[in-house]
Amino acid sequence: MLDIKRERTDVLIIGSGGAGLRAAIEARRYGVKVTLVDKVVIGMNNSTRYSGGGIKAALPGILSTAYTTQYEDPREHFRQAMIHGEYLNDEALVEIMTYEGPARVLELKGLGVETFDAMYLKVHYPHGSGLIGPLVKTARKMGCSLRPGMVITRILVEGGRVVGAAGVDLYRDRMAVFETGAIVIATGGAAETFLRNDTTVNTTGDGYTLALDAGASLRDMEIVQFEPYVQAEPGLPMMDRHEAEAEFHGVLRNALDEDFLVKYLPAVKTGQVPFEQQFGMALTDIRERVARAMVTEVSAGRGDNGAVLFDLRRVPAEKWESDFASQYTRKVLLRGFDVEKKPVHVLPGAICTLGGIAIDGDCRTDVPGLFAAGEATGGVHGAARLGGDGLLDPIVFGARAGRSAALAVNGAPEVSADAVDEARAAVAGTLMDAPADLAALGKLRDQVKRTMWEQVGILRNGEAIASAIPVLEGLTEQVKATRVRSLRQFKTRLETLNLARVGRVIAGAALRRTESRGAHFRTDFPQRDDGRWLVNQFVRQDGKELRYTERPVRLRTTELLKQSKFGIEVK
Amino acid sequence: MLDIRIDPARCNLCGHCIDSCPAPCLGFDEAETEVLIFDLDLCLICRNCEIHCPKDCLVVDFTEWEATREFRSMVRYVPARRRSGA
Repeated sequence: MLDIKRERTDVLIIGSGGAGLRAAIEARRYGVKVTLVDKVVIGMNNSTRYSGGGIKAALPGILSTAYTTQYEDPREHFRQAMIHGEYLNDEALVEIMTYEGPARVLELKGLGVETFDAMYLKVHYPHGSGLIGPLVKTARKMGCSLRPGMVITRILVEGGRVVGAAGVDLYRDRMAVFETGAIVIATGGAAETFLRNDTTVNTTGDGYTLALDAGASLRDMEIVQFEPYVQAEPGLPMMDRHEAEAEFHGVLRNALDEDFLVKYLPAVKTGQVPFEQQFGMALTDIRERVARAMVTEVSAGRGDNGAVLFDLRRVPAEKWESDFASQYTRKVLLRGFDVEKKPVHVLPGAICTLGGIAIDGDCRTDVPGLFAAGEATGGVHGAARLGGDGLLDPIVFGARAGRSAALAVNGAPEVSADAVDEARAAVAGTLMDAPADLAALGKLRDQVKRTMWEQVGILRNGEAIASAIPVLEGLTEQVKATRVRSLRQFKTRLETLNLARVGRVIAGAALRRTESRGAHFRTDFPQRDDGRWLVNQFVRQDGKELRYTERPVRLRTTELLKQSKFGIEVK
Repeated sequence: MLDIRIDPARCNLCGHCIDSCPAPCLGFDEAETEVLIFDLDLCLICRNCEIHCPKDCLVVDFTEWEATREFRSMVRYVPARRRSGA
């Protein structure tokens, strides 16, 4: 029988990435008791830590490096984020991020982030370490209780509001019930749902299913961003390439040795001028188009071993010596792969889900007492994310969520014995005393990821998505039928289940949106349709069904609509 | 070349190395009596496993760089002990 440890805390934060840590620090400032849990280790295994980009905010002159130019003005940042997100963003959220962003970034210095350079340059590898490490230290110093190895399995809602959460403690082989009236979900996204991704294996969308089960709604789940330059070289990890120099000077070639990007982005002069000078946007900002071009080439049979070649031979020699290249040397060249001489195989992979839990400006969700921040939320980036906003979002909204949660602490909620028993039964029901078939579970996980990648991936069409939905539902049932032996295996099972469920949510939303917008591209509806689809899709769990609803986008700044994104036509 | 070495005599099977790995490089066997190295090709050489090992029994055999020691002080806290062996 599983032991249960009950404990009381004021604010429970789930997830220890940038958003979770920032929320913990902020909530702790209000003097409340903060418990930060993570299903794996604290702070060191999440998208923030492994992020390669920097933060961008309206801090000209302060944060600018050779590779990252900052916005002159929050208004400019706002405008770019809205145009780039193709208006699926919530204006209020974008406004908060862009106007509050500079202050939040400067504040990082007080939280121990010594130099901003640390976030970009050669001091640290992986790059996000320079940000996340000091945040972990600060959170611990401020007295937040940090709990690694704690897998939250459900959020307990009684009388219409949050009263606590139940989970399993991997390191102590028991269950834990937290009695708390304020929970922040900062669990990150679900890029792992796709076969090719360059995030950590932990991005399984746990927060999405927690929120769905608690009664909160998710928004814009069809939007998944893909990074073009993810390695597809046998023997090398699927990591993406963060070197700005490589992006400036690198040339994408197909098997026929053509510089094919020129066909898709006619104005592009690859390998000569930085993209920023060509379009006013960095290459990271047109990544969905580059990714699409690459996949189109491969599916037209012009790929080399199912991938395209990224030729870095034009990168000037001195660039390899400095900054980013030195990282690349450490990571890849020492395995015997010489990118200076030989083109590397690349193929896009998922980097983040831009949709997520629907929040308001104070990070409140539909359920009183439940808050969310970071990649787990939707609406900040709209249909495509600007480079540099990926780290700004958790820093800004993490702080807001922490504050809202601390202010929502009200009395001492009691978790009823029934709810505890139910949570325990849900875990105990999946356990058995015989050896578990982990290979079968791994296969199911692989099937989910493969289905999502092949049928709901970069180039989507109605038929493929429609046929993926029953497959994903079948896989969900198959995972539900599995039994495991230990709590650690239970975590594996739960993650697989979450992947299948989140995959189903993404596929359902992608099928409904019969247009192409931002990172969502339908080959059967390749045009953007502002007449019909200037709407946000919301989804909530209704018993066993998913209920999708639509809400029209309300823009205060309608003149933005008239502006085109790049001033270039993309075939 | 890259290698991860684990000293099974000292390992207490806490699983911190597995939990800290961003790629599915490491994992338990089914009975959870041993840490296995599944796929070194996926290793990002972030050294998380080495940094998090409370018993200092795991080594990523690769060129050292300066950040490692610093991270070590950052993540080091009293680790939970698991029952060793089955």
